[in-house]
Amino acid sequence: MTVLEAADVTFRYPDGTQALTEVSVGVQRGEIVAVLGPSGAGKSTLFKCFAGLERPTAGVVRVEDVDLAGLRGRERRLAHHRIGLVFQEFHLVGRASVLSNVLVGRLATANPVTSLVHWMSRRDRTLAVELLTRVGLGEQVRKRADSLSGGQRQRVALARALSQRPELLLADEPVANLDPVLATGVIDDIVRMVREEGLTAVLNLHDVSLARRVAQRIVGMREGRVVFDLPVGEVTDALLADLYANEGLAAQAAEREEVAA
Amino acid sequence: MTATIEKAPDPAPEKAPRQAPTRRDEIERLARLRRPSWGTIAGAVGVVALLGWSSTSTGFSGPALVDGLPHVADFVGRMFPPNLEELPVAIELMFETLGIAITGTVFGVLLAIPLSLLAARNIFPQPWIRDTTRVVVNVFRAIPELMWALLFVSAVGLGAFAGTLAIMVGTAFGVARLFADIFETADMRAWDAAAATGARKSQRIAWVLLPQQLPTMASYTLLVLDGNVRAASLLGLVGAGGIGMELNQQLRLFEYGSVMTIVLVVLVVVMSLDLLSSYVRKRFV
Repeated sequence: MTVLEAADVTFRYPDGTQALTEVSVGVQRGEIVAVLGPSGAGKSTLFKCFAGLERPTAGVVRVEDVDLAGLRGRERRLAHHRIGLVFQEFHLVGRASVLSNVLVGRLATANPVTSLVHWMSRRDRTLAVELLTRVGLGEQVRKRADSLSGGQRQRVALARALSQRPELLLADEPVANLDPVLATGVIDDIVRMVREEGLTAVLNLHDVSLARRVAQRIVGMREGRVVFDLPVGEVTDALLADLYANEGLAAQAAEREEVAA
Repeated sequence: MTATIEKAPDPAPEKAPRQAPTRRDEIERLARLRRPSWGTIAGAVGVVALLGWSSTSTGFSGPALVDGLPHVADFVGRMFPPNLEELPVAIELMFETLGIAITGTVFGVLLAIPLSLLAARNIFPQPWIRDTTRVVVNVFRAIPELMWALLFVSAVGLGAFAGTLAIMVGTAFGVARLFADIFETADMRAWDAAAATGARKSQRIAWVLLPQQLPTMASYTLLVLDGNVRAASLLGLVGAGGIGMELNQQLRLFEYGSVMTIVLVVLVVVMSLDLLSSYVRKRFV
């Protein structure tokens, strides 16, 4: 069954920069897909469209057969709640505790009044602590998020996403801010948790070896288009070399995208 | 000024092809003092005129000040020695003053938070909400605390309650503007991430925005409390409670020794609060 489906998605920023051109991708339940490509390929824009943070200029994105762009209010919030997000720069509340950061993932279904004074149900708190323990942060639960290292912060963000009990996990360059050794550890944790929870995951990655290590399928992107979409065993070095050829040109495109974003 | 002033350019345009300015000429041209523009001259004249008008309208005169100096010395002289019998009364009233300032500040800040959220562009992007709130806040912020005190004295009668209300309202509108600006400089990434989990706006305020901004808000609140203690010491002049009422009375009775005691008590309290709050604020930020 298709969990995530993008059909002919085109995205143009208000300044006219075309970030995506007729991108079509389908992700089956339980699949782990890596989106690979040089910077400026449109991976982040695609992530935003998948997550419902941006609305495609043309084409449609469906998550579990629902088009987020067509929803409003409560329905939209609950649809968002079904998608867990992990960002490159963690996006945590630094001054709040690790536990409180993870509990943010439970707010959508918590009591709207008592949650305002940070009163969360025993079930929600237990789930949050359990997830933190499983990503190796059992000792850090009460610490402030900004006292943790980069790798630990990204694990807090992962626990926050998982606490939503999502069907789909999307990650945008989750380890680009970490050094290579930490990066491998964090990516392995993400994939292990995704498997344990039986989720579907789409990971935007820059690093080829990480993508080959964890993904079942690799979608190669360049200049806003899908260049290939193959099981990881069929992704040859030649294909990858083509994908990253003339990265200088792509870097210019990245600059354009950054200016637009 | 003895500097050379650049001459106005020759009005007759040169017929001969203009030579490209040499580097030397260029340096000298830039090094020359520019003649002040007519706008600057008009502005300077205006400032001098304004000062002249305001000092005559207030009867400000040097000779009168010099003539008055002995009287000032006499006045200060009669304040010594301070009347220590006044001390218990002054201390008791200082506690009342602090009570007015603290209660007014706390409730004022609590009122300011919802107002400031409505006035922050990144929390309520709808321009009509933000603009309406900003206009209301700016209008009421322009009313000084003593005027609020006069209003509340006639509404709830003489006493500390009127003073507390005055401080509260003054703080609410003053701080609302401050907090709105603090919220608008917040890092919105965690806010956006929380929105993407499906959390409501009210929940995002309680879990993301306030925890992030609380230290800055607390620091400004202490600063405002400082000012409010000073304001509360004056409220008594219009009968709104606190130490000012006693000060006014002793002045009218020409009990300058008691006046001195009161002034000293205010001085000690305000200065120690200033030290305390700057110490605490350093630890916050």
